[in-house]
Amino acid sequence: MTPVEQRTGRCWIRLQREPLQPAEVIAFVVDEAAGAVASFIGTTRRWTGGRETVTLSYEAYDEMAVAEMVRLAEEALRQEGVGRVAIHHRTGDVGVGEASVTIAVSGGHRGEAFLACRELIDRLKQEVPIWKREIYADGTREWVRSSE
Amino acid sequence: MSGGVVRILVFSSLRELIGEAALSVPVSEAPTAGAALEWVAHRHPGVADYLPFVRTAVNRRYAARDTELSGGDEVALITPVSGG
Repeated sequence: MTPVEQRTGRCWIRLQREPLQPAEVIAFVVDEAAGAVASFIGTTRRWTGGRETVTLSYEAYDEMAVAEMVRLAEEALRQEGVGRVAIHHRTGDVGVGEASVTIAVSGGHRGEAFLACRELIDRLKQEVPIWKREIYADGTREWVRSSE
Repeated sequence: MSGGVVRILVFSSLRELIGEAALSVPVSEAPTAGAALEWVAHRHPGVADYLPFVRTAVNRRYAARDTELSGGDEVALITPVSGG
């Protein structure tokens, strides 16, 4: 899959199979008008309730996932003091310790940047049509049924 | 009621249950997003268990089940998402 993305002056959304580069989302949002950049990186955790994960495997409804992330970013950008937003999400297999999602938000001050970043990851987990499957060390695989 | 065909997309556990990622249905048999969901549930045992949890999308936006469909529309049956 070639990356699916939408990029405007204040917003960069991207879905890609290749490993994520956290520096890319941060570099995009850095801005002279900003006093703060908040970022979030979601990574594959090895242990969940005593079970060992080796990989998370992500599937997306590509075009709608990008459209939904754009919608969330545009809502964040309407908030007072939010300057730029970038969200990159990976599809396919993401090994332990690797990043599945990177988000960066710039704002006039840290408060609005932290808040918008937190809301973006929380809403992404509820609304963006992406699904993950746990691939466990014992060979079993299970779709993750609900977001945290 | 217009003619034509709607395309129904399924993902993750629903895709595996059905064994296909996309289905084509005449609009006359799936005049609304909810009817498209029921059309799939009627033909694939097991899908009925998902009905309370599935959200419908039409042309890449979440849409209520009573949203009317036209030929060429793309309906997606979206089980609870787990990105991030």
